[in-house]
Amino acid sequence: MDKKTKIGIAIMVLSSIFLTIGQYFFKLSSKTFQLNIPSLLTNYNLFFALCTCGIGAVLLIIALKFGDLSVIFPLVSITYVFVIIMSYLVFNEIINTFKIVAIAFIVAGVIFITRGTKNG
Amino acid sequence: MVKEIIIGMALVIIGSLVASPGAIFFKKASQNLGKNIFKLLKIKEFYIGAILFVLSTLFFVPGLKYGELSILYPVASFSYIWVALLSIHFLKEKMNISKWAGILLIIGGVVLIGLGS
Repeated sequence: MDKKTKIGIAIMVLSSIFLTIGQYFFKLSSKTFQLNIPSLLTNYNLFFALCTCGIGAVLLIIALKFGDLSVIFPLVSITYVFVIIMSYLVFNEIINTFKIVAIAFIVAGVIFITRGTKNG
Repeated sequence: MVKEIIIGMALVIIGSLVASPGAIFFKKASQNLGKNIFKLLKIKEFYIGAILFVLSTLFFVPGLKYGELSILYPVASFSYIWVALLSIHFLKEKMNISKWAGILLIIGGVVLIGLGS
């Protein structure tokens, strides 16, 4: 794997972290979520969710400077892994066998994809 | 029940079809981006991509509420396939066995997450 791709992966990991934090705030915001403008505007968790996801999106775009879309974009799935871990730590969601094997599959998938770059 | 799952699947499929071109626009935006990140706000592809992603959530979020994540999550992860195909056509990127295998593994992982949810 060439150095450029490694930088792209690193930035994508950072992007995934922000997207995961965004999921955290989205989950919090769903508790007080109402589909009317006054409620939406005062939903601070929703605001934080959009901000952190926005940062995640910008980092995704920056990462795209360092690799092909078909390599960088699937790395968004790293977010699944982080969300599982975050949900367990913060919301006490159970990590069952499915999720553990899922994490293994996603990590394997990421390895295959990044090994598939030009200089492999 | 079946009707609900179909509605859920339809919404999620539409969501992934809307989000995938958004990724193409983000890649185009990144190509026009220099060292100054704030210049991103002047790139129209950034806005088009952002709008497409936001629009896709309007389909994804309601769609996923139809439950049956074991089916809906994998359907949503077809985005990775659409993006790969769009990348070949619009960005002249090359796919290979390793990258397709990686995408299949990720979809497999998402299927398992759906089953475990």
